[in-house]
Parts: sequence; structure tokens; C-alpha cells
Amino acid sequence: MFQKFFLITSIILLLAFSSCTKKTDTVNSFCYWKTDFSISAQELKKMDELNVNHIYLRLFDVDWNSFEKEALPVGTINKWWNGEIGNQEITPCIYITNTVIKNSSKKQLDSLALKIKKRTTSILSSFSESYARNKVWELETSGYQCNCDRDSLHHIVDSLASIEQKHFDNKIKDLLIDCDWTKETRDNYFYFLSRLKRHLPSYQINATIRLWQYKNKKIAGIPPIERGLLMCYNTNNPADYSTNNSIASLEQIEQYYTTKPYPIKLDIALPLFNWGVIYHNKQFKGLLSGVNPNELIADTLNYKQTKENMFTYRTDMVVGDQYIRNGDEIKIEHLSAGELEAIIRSIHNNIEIDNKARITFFSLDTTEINNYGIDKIKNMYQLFHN
Amino acid sequence: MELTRSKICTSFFIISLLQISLLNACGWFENSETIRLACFKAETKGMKNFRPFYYSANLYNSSESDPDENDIISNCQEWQKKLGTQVLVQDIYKVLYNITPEQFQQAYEDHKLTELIPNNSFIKELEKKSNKELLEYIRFSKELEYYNFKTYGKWESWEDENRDWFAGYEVKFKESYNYIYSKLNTSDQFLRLRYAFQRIKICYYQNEHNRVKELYLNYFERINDQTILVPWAMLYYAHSEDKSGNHIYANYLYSRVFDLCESKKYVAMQWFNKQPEIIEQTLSFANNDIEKANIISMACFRNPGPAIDQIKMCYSLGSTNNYFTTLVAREINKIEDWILTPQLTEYAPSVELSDEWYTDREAAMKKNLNKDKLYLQTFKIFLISCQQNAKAELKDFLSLAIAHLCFINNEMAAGQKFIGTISANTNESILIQKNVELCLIKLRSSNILDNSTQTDIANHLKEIEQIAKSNHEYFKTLYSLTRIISKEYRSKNKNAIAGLLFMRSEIYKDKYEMLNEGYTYNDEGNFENYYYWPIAYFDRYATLNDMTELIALLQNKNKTIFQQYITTQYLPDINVYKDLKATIAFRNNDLSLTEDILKEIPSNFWDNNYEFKNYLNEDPFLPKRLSYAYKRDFTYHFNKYDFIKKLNKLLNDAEQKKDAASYLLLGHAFYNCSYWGNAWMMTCYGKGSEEDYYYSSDYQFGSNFKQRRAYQEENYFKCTLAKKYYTKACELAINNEQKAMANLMIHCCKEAEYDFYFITSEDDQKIAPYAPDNELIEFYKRFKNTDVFRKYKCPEMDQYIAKIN
Repeated sequence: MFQKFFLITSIILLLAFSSCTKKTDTVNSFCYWKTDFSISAQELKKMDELNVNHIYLRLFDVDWNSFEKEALPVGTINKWWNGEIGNQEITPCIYITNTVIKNSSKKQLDSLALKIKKRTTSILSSFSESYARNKVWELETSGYQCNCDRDSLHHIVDSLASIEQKHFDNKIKDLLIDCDWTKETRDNYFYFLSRLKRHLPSYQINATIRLWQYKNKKIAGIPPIERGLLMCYNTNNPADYSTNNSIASLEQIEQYYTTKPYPIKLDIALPLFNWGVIYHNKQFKGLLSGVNPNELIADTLNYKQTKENMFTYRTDMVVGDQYIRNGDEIKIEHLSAGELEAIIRSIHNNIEIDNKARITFFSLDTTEINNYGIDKIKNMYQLFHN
Repeated sequence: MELTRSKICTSFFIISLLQISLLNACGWFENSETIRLACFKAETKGMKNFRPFYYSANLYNSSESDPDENDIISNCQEWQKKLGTQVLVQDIYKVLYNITPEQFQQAYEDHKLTELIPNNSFIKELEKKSNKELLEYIRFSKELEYYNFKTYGKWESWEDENRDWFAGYEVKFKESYNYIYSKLNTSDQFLRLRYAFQRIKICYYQNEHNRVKELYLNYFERINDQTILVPWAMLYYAHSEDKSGNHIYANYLYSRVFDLCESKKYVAMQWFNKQPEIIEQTLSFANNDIEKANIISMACFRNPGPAIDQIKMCYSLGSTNNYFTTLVAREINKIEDWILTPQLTEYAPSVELSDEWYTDREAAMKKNLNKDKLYLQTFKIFLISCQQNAKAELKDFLSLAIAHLCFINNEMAAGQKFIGTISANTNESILIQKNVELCLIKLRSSNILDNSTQTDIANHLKEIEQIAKSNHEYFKTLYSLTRIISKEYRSKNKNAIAGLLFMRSEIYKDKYEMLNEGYTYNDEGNFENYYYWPIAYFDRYATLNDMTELIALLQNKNKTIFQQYITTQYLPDINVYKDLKATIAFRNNDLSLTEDILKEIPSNFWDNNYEFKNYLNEDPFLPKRLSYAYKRDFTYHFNKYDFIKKLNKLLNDAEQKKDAASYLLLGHAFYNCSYWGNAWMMTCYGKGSEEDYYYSSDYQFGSNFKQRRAYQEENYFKCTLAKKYYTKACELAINNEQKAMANLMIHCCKEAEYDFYFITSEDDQKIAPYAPDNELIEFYKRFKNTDVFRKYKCPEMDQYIAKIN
């Protein structure tokens, strides 16, 4: 009798604990946002160490061309690829400007959906071939070296290549559309998404959700998608001189929490980058990526530190396309590991995610990964599991 | 054959505008423009727009023709004049040239121009109602710009994701035609001209060349206003005339465009026809002497040969402007290239005018030097006559030019006199060149071994180095100067200094090339960090005294300014130079000195440096020539010091005891230290295949084949010392084994000598096949029963003997 009681109590307690501790088994992910698809061996190694099983891969942007009066692709990823990738699944991404949605008629949106489908499948087909070629080239090379019968060799290689192509194709299960739609463009955008779904039935169509859209569901609406990628960064406008950190801060993110859960399953996107915001007379001038604050501190000839994250230029210099003048300022915006962990904990406690949720960092960059350290990033992923 | 082939390849590279050094089937070559020596770089004000046409081994000097964007600024100033001084030129510039058409169009449609370009005085003015037409023009011109450049880099096609897709110049200008037509009737001359210009462009690309002419003549030919649109429109007019078959008139128009604006100089020159018969006809269109002079000057800018006649003609037509000074500068650079490049580098002049090099290089060099010196005198006399009539900046410029020619011709006093006439207030470029000339004059007129002279030279060079940090063109000046100075020290047998300066000059040359090609220069160097590079010069030219001086200089803790300057570069560990010194002593056959020097070097030096352990890894007392009879063992631990010590002992023993065995070992050692042996790296640092024999592909330091021939009393190629010791061994041999070995090895030495003779003979020389001497015959006849014979006889020797029998 006592044993029965003990057993039942244990089971009840076990269930209770299970429901209290939000144990999730999320998917570790990274964003790859460059126009040349070339993941280095070092980056692959880092992804292995971090158990990254998924990447978001930007294929191209779409912007409105005011001369052609239509949406046109911009910055398409280079179709040449060496085929090197690990076991990661891939989600192709397309960024669409709100202006496109605003200016396009329904007919144009229909056409846009079709064109995106065509371009996406063409690029993915090319990647699939590259992937297969990379897998079989070793076999092909050793076959030539051992003077195998050429016809048989080609037959084997071709068969293996088509198997590898299928293998690559199976990595892609969904497509992500990134668009910061507004109340005015909501209907058009949702229409576009539904059209896209019809043209690409083999992929799940997902979309990004900004924090303001997450909070203001009535105004922003809920897009007709399976999953949303909640972008927990770029919470402020970098052009605002008074903002301390436009990338993200715990205080800013916490302002977006709601009591009601979001009706669509969410994945989470977090920042793993820094930038320098250039100001001229407190007017926003531009952004510089990959700035190392330690270099600025050491370079007292060219920079004068005025605050912890603020420097003044002492000389004129050209950096990329920017002509920065003596007296201009640069604000280094960056999240420390501690700050990022605090944000993660907060998100994990306040935003519901499921077992299949992807936790993705923007973006894959060896320098940034080294800056934070493998262990720290691992820990950040782990925080979603606890 | 190697030389001929390489010269053809060099010429091919010059013609095909190859800009960077590269590896190809003909071998490694340096860029001709990089090699070219040039110290003269003075410019008068305004000359910088002629930089693309400065003398260069490339078709054009790599430089923009309007680096200060004078034309664009002129356009902005015209807009400012139209709108008033409350509109800033930089604001106009930003809108016209820094905002893309797409950005502008979108902001215009959304009425957000002030958001796109905040606080912009030009936009503020354009948005006023009274300036509506002006704003509309900007919008329209941006739209045309979009269609003009709708190619790769702008928008992509949906049809083709290939990023190299090129759409060409798509024109949907039927609507634009009528639109512009209506605007051409505006009363506003400012706008009218601009619309006319846009129309000219459209008509040109639509191949409506008659319309282009009509528009130009109606709107631009007779206007009184100074506007940058005139030459811009004239260029299209010139192109249209060209395409319509009016080539001569087009040629004239190109010369006018060249003269009237900066940004189109380059394209005008590209289309300009400089053929003498065409120039003659083009001159008939010139309205005055200056226009004639400009036409002749343009033709002259592309003349790589002596151009004094053309320059004299320009001068007589009254041309003393930037055309004239650019031509003078070109001519000075030509003379530098013709005279100095062959003297101070391993190369011919960078721009070659004849193929005389192909046949007899030495004779061609001598003949050309005489011709070039004569030309130098002729040109100098002409410049002196010009200088006497010149004033201000031109006078200073010509004084410098004359001084420089004096330097090249070794007329120091005359050169000094002209330098003395230069005003202290002249432009910076002339002052820098004056500095260079003073350095050159000091070099030749003072004692360069004197500390104060050396300090002056170092200070001059350091000043120019500072300037070069912000203007990389001056690295060429530094390269040329240090090369000249190095030669002066070499002529005084101060090879330690000469070598260090030579290396500095190579580094400057490398910096110039990298920065000129748009690469960043790695201060750690490209090839200077290799083991051999820092000793290459000394390996060729240094004596033992030089090496002693060099080592002392490097180890000196209280260096003078000059010494600090020449040693501020990558220099290896001092033992590298000690090893070289020992090698030189060894080449001089001074074994006891060799031993003393090697004693100072750590014993593991040859295990850890260079390729010593890969090439000094066999027993040096087993002749390599006989290796067919034994299994070669590459695990031998070779130590140079131990080896020389043993040689000295053997020499001693051999002389004292009259010992054949010692002489045999000495013979083996010296055989192996020759080119033919397994310890050749005792004597030489490198060994190629053909390049050893008659022509070196070392374009930096030059061949040292001549030096190598003389190493160790010619032992390196001819085994003279080895043969001497084998002969002694033979005389003192106490048994047949020793005699057999001695005879065998004498034969091997003679065979090596024959091989050397055969390979270094001219191709068309008939060389008799090798016929062995008595030694081999004796070997076969008298020593058949020896172990040596049994072990070392071989089919090749059998064949020799069979032929004799």
C-alpha cells in the first residue's frame, strides 16, 4: 500500500517537475549572409564544435526599382560554390524591402512570387550540383589515376552524384522570407506569402517577425506561415545619436514582451556582430562592420576615446565608401557575452518556443566567434535547453 | 637561344601591357615599368593632369587624368553660380555624384529628398517652387544616368542570375526625345545647354551622328559662356565625326577636347591618331600656333623615341605650357632609361626601340650609349636656350632638367650652377627634385667615404622616403637613387656599403611596384626574408675585406646616420655573413682562414639554416662520380668546420709525409666540392641546370657564372685542384690500388672538364666527342687486377676503350 502510494506520488511529482522546468531541445543555427557562399574549413570546424545543425543562407534581396517600376533582385549570391558544407540543414532566405510590397499591385505580387520561385530553384539547383561534384571528385580523381574503364567510372560517378544531389536537396525543407512589413503593407505582404506557398509547395514558407510585430499583433497581423523567426536585435535606430546600443539591450527587448503567446511557432535570432556607427556633427553618416575597439584604443594617432564606446577621429580617412573627416565620431556597438546571456535568459523565460525551435546567431563570422569564444556560445545555446 | 627567347618574351609583355611580374613558360620577369630607372619627377603646376602620358614602359602611365576632379568641380560651380552662393559646392557634388539614380528617384517620388540627403543646401534650393525646372532636370539626368549604366553592378535581370550579365546601353528614349525637344526651347540658357548635352549623348548612342553635329553646332559652337559642357559635348561630336568618316576633323576635335578639359584627356588621347601623315592634315584645322603646338604635343606624348624635333617645333610655336614641360620631363626620363637602366640593372632600357640586343648585347650597349650621350648633349643645349628666355616656375623647371642631364653626363660643376638658380619659393615638386639633384651632385663631387658626405646623402634619402609614404611614386626615385649611389660605392670597391644600398634599392623597387598596382605593401617583405637574398650581392661581388667590413658594420653598436640608414632593412643573423665569408675564403683556396672563420659559427648552424642539410648530406670523401658503384647514403652529418679542419690536416699530412692516401682523399674532397660533386654547396649556394653555364636568369643580382668559373683556381667547373691532388697521389702511390684510383679519378676530372667545355660552347661549334686520355687507358691496361678496377669499371668506360681499340 505504502509502495503504491510512493509510486503514484513519485509519478505525480515527476510530471509536475517536467511541466515546471521548460526543457527544450532546440536546434543550433547560424545565419550566413555573404554574397560568396564559401564556408571556410575553420568555420566548418567551429560549427562542428558548436553542434550547429542548421544555417540560414541569404540568396538575394528584392528591392523596388523606381525606374522600372517593378521589384528587381539585388546582390544575388554567387552561384559558384566549392560544395563544402557539414551536416547542416539549410534554409534559403530572401530579403524583400517594404517598398516592394507597398508599390506592387496584386498582379505584380503574383509575378514576384513566381520569379522568386524561379530564381531560388535555379540557385539551389546549381548548389546541389556543386555539392554533388565536391562529394564525388575524389572518387573521380582516384578513378582516373588507377586507369579504370572510363565509361564505368563515369557511370558510377554519375549515379553517386545524383544520390548526393538528393542528399543536398533533402537538406532544404523550408524557405525564409525576411520583410519588415508595416500596417499599410500587411495585406499585400500576406497575400504575397500565400502566393509563394502555392508556387513552392515542397517547402515550408516561414518569415521573420520583428519585435514590434510580435508585440503589436493586431496592428501587424499574423502572417500565413508555419514558423516565424523572431529577430531579437536591431531594436533601435543606429541613426539616433543618443542610443547607447542600437543592436540590442535587455531593457529594450523586455518592452516587447506580451502576456499572450504568439499564435505561430517561433525560432529565435540573436546578434553576434558588432558595428561602428559613424556620426558627423551628431548626424548619422554610416555603419562600419567588424570594428575592433582594441585597435581604436591602441591607435591614439588616429582616434581619441571620449567615452567607453565612443571615439573621435583625429585625421581624415577613407574607409570603404566612407570619407570620414577629422572630428567625426564613431560609436562602437557591441554586446558582451554577459549581456547576451542576460537577454537569452529573459527571452527563454518570456517567449514560448517549442522543441524544434532554431536558435540562430547573426551571423557566421570566425572573428566574432573567436571574440566570444566557443564555450560562451555553446553556453548561450545551452541556455535555451534549460 | 635562351637570351633571344627571353628578349622576345620581354617585348611581348611590354606590348601586351602586362602590369605585374608573373611566372610563365618563358621564365620569371620583372615588370619593365618597375625596372626602369627614373630620378627626374619634377612637375610644374597643372602638369599632374598629364600624368597618364608621362614616359612609361606601359602604353599609358597608370594615373587618372583628372585626379582633383577639376571638371566635376567646374560643373558644380556652374550650378552654384546659377543658384547663388548660399548653395555649397560640396552639397551640389553630393547630390550629383554621390547619390545613385535609384536612391534619388525613389526619394523624389516619395517627396523625401530632404530625408535622403539631410541638411543639403542644394536640395533645399531645388525644392523651391522657382527652381522646379532645375529639380526636374536633375531628376531627368539621373534617370538617363540609370539607363546609361544599366549593366552589371546596377540591377540584375530576373532572367539570368549570372552576375556577369551585361545589358548594354538600353535606351527607351523615344519618349525622352520629345521630352528633351520641348525643354530645348526653354529661355534658360543654363538648362538649355544641359538638355542639349543630354540630347547629344542620346543621339550619339543611337548612331544619329548628323544630329549630334547639328546639336553641337547649334548649341555649343558659338556660346560665350565658359562651361565645362562645351568640351564634354565636343567629345561626342568628335566621336560622331570619326564614325561618319571625317577622321581628320575628328582628330582636330580630340585635340581641342584634350586641351579644354581634364577628365576627357585620357579618352581623347586614346582616339587621337598620331600617324605623321594624319597629324599633317590635322594641323590644317588649327586656328592658331598654340593649337598647332598642342596637336604636335599630343602626337609626341606617344613617341617613345627621341622627340627633340617635335619639341623644338612646339617651342617655336610658342608653347611653354604644361604640354611643353611634360614633353621635357618625358625626354629626360627617356634619357635616364636609355643610359642608366642598362648601366645599373641587368636589363636593357624598359622601352626598346630596336632589336640590336638580340645579336650582340655588349656591342649594342656600347653603340647605344654613345648615341644616347650625344642626344643628351643636343637636348641639353636646346634646354639651355629655352631656360635663358624662361621665367618663374618654368625657368626653375628647366634649370632642374638641365642639372639632371649634367649629372647623367658627369658634369657636376655645370649641374651645380643650374641648381643654384632655382628660386626658394618655387613649387614643392621642384624643391623635392632639387633635393634629389643635390644628393646626386654630392655623390659625384664629394668624397663619399667621408662621414659628413654620407650623412648628407642619408638625410636626403630619408627626406624623400618621408615624402614617398604619402606619394608612392617617389619610391621609384628612391629605387633609382639608391641604385646609382650603390654603383658609386662599388666603383670605389666598397662592396659592403654598395651591397646594402643595392638591397635597399630592390626593396624600394618592390614597394613601388606593389603600391603602383594597388596592392598593399607587406613591410615584412616578399623575397627579402629568404636566406640567400640578403647575401646574393655579396656572393657575387664581395672580397674578404668587404665581408670583414660588412660584419663589422652590422655588429657596430654606434652606427653613424648613414650606417643606420643602410642597415635599416631585414638582415639575417650575422653567422649567415660569416658563412659567406668562409665560403669566399674557401673559393680563394685559403683553407686556414676558412677554418678560422668557420670556428666562430655555432656547430649546428648548417643543420638549421638554408638547404645545407639537404645538399651537404653525403660523405665528401667518396667521389660522387663513382656513386654508380655504391649505394648513396644521405644520412651523413656534414659539418663545414669539421670538414675544413680535416682538409687542413690532410694537406699537412700529405705534405709532411708525402702520403698518397692523403692526396687521394684531398682529391676526392676537392672533386666533391666542385660542381660535379656531392658537396658543391661548400663552394656555391645554388645550382640550377642550364643557368649555371652561360646565362643567368637572375635578373636582380645578375649572373655570377664568370665568378664561378674562377672559384678555387677553376676547380669548380674544371676540377683543377682535384686533378692536381690526384696527380700527386699517382706519383706517390705505393700500390696499384692507389694508382688505379688516382688514374681513374684523373680521367673523371678530365671528363668533367670536357663536359663543361662542351656545354659552354656555342651551338654551332663542332665539338669532337670525348676521347679519354692515358689515365683511362692505363686504368684498363695496368690495373685490371685491382679491386678498384673491379668495383669501378663501367660500360661507359668500356665503350671509350673499345673506341680507342
